[in-house]
Amino acid sequence: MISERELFIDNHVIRWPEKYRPVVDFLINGLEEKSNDNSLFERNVHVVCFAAGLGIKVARRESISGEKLLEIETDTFINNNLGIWIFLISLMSNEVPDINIFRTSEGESEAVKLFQEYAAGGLAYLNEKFNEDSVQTPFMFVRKILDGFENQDNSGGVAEVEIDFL
Amino acid sequence: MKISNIIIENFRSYYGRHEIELSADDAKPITILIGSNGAGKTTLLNAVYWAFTGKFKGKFAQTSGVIHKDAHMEGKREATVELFIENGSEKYHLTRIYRTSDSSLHMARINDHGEYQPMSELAAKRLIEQLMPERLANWFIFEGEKIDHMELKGDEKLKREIQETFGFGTITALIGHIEVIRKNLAHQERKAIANNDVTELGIQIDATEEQIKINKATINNLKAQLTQFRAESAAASEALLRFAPSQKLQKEVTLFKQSLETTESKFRAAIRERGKYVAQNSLPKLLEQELSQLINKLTVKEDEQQLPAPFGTRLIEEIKQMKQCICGTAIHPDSPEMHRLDEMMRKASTPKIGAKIFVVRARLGGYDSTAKAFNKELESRSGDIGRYDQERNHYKEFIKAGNKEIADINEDEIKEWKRKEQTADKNIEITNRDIGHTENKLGTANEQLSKLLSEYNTKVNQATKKSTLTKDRKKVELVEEFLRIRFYEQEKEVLKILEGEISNVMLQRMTKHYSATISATDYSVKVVDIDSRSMEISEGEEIFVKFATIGAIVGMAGNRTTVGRVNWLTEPVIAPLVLDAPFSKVDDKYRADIAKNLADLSGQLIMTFDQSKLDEGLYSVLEKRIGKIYTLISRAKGNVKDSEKVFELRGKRVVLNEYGERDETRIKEFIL
Repeated sequence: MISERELFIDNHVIRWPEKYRPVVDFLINGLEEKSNDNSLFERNVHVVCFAAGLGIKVARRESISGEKLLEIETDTFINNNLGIWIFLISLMSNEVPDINIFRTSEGESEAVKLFQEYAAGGLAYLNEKFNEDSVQTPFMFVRKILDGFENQDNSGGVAEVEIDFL
Repeated sequence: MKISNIIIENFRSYYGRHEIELSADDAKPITILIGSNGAGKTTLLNAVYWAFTGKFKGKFAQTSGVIHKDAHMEGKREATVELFIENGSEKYHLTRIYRTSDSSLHMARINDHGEYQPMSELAAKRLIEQLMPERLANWFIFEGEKIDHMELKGDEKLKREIQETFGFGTITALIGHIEVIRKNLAHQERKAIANNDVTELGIQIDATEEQIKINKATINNLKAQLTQFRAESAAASEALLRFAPSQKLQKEVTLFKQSLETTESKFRAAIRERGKYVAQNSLPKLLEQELSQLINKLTVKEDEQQLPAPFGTRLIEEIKQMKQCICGTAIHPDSPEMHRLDEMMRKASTPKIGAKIFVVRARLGGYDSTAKAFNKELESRSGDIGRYDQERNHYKEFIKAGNKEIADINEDEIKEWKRKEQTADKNIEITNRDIGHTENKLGTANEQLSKLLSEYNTKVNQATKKSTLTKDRKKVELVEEFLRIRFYEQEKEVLKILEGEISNVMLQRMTKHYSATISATDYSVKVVDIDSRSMEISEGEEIFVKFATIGAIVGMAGNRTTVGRVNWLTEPVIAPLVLDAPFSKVDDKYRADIAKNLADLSGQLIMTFDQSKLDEGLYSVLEKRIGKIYTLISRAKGNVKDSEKVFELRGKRVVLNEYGERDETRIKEFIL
C-alpha cells in the first residue's frame, strides 16, 4: 500500500484564521498554557482537521480571504496520519465524490481549498460554542459536541448542539 | 567473588591490627559477627565498603576519627583496611590506606606460589569496578535499617542497578554504541541521496530523534528529582514515626500515601489514554454517518465501473499519437472522437490512481470500524477513570483526616516535619504529573519516528538499492536488531526466573498464597494473590518481600536459584553479601526464613548481629551453613562497671564488654 505522502502530487500549505487561535489552544491544553492531564489534541493540525470535519457536519464553509492566517504544511498532516482527510473532506463535500482530486495538481489544489474553507467553517462553529458557555475541559467540550451530533443523527433532528457545563 | 580475610588496623574503634578469617566455603558460606550497640559492627561493614569504593557512607561520611584516637596520639598517621579476595581461581590482596592528607589504593595479584604481583592503580580500579562496582556496592554491603529505603514500586535507580548486577549494562552500552554508528551511517546516507523527499524525511527524522533525546533526558532528570522528593518525604515520615503522639497516625498516613500515589498514577494515565483516544478517533466518530455514505457512494461508483475506469492511460495516449483507433477509425484533432478520448483520459486508470483509491477505501473502512466502536471504548475508559477517581478520593480523605490530627498535636517539631513531608508530597505529585506528560510526548515522538523511518526506508530502498552506505547501515541495523532481541530475550528470561524465585520463597514461607509479578517496564515488584489480584501488604510482609527480592537477585547473579538458570550474555556481578544488623526491621516470624533464603542464594554471607538477635531458633536454622562466628568485644577506658553485656549460645557464654586502658574493639572467635 502506498504511503500517505504518495497521495499528494505537490506540497501545499493549509491556512486557517488566526482569530480562532483561542479555541484551538483550548482544545489542545484546556485553559492551561502547557501540556497537562486535561490536554486533548496534541497539535494545531489535529484541531484544524477536527474542525474541517465539523464544517462538513454542519455544512459550514467560510472563505478565508481577507483574514490574518496561520499556516500548516501538508507534510505536518502527513506526519500525523491526517493527510488523507484533506481528500476525504473534499470527497464528502460533494453529492457525487470526484476522484479527479487524485489525478491532477489542479484537482489536488481544489481539495486543499475546500478543506481550508470547511476547516474555517468548523473553527467558527467551535469558537461560537466556546464563547457561549463557560467550558471546563477540552474532553468535555468535544464529548458534548459528539453526543449532540449523535443524538441528532439518530433522531434525524436539527444540527444544533447545546453546550452547558454549569 | 569471595572475601577470605579482612585485616583492619587502627581504623576507627579498632586499635592495632586485627584479622578476621571469613568462611568462604560453599557449604558453609556464612560468617557472623556478634556485638552490642556501638561495638564496631557497622564500622566493620563501612571498612569493607570503603576498601572497595574509597568512600565512607552514612554517618561515617565525616573523616574525623578515621584513625583510632589513641593510635593517633601515639603518632600513627595511617588507618588501613586489607581484603583478601578470591575470584574463581584468581587471588588478590587489596589494601586501602587512609592518611589525614590523602588515601591510597594498592592491589596485588597473588600467584600460585603465594607471590604478590603489584597491579597499577588503574588496573586495580578496573578490577574493583568489575568485582564490586561502586554504584552496586550498596546492594551487597548494606545496613538492615536502610531496607525501608529500597523501593519495590518501579524506581528508575533500582531498575538500573538490577540491570547492572546482571551485567546488562555492557549490552545496553554496546547497543548504544551501535545505535550511534547506525545513526551516523543513516545521516551520511541521507546526505548522499540527492532526493528532495528523502532529504526532507531525513531532516524530520533528525528532528524527531532530537526530540526523543530531549524527552528522555527530561524524564531522567524528573525521575532523579522524584527519587529526591521521595527520600525527603520518607525522611520526614520516618521522623514523624519517632514521636509517640504522631506515630500511629503517621503509620496510617504513610500507608495511604503509598496507595494514593499508585492510584493517582493509574488515574492520570487513564485520563491521558482517554484523551489520546478521543483526540485520535473523534473525527471518524463525528463523521460516522458521512463516512458510511461515502463508502456506499464509492461502492456504487465501482459497481458502475467508474472507479477507476477499466482502461489505462497508455492505450489512450497511443491512440492519440497514432491518430488511429485500434479498430481502424481515424482520429482527427478537434474531432468528436478526439474530445471523447480527452474525456476518457480524465477517467482513465493509472496504477497510481488505483493505488490512491485503494488507500482511501482501506482507510475509510478503518475509520468506519473506529467510529462504530467509539462509544463502547470511551465508556470502558471512562469507567476505569471513575473507579480510580473514587479510590483516590477515598485515600485523600483518609490522608487529610490523618494529617489534620497530626497537625493538631501541639508540638513544633511535629508540625515542622509534617510541613516538610507535605511539601515533598506536593513535589512528588507535580513531578509524577510532569513525568506522565513527558512520557506521553516521548510515546508520540517514538510512534512518529517509527513511521518516518519506515517511510524513509521505503524511499531509500527505491532510490539506492546498491548504495554501499545503505548496505553498511543495514548490516549495522541487523547487528543492532540481533542485540536488542537477545537483550529482550535475556531480560524476559531473567525477570521470569526472578519472579519465580521470589514467588517460590513467598509461597513457601508466607502463610498467605501470595506471589510476585515483576513489570518489564520499570522492574516494579507487585504482590498478587492466588487470583492474580494486586494486594496491599503489611509493612512486615513488605520487608520480607524486599529481602526475598535481594536474595533472588544475588542468587540469580551467582546462578544459585532454584527456579531456573540463566545463560548469561555477559558476566553478572557476583559479590558477597555483607549485611549489618539485617533483621533490625524484620518481624520475628520471618527472620529465620529470610536468613535461610539469603544463605541458600548468596555465595558468601557476612552478617552482623546484636547479641540478642542470634538466638537458639535462628542459630538452629542456619547452623549447618555457618562457617565462622566472631564476637566484637567493646572495651571502654576506665574502671570496671557493673553492667555486663553477654552473648550466650548453647551453654557457651561470652561477655561483650570490658574495661581497660583505652576505648577499642577487640575481635574474638566464638567456637562452640
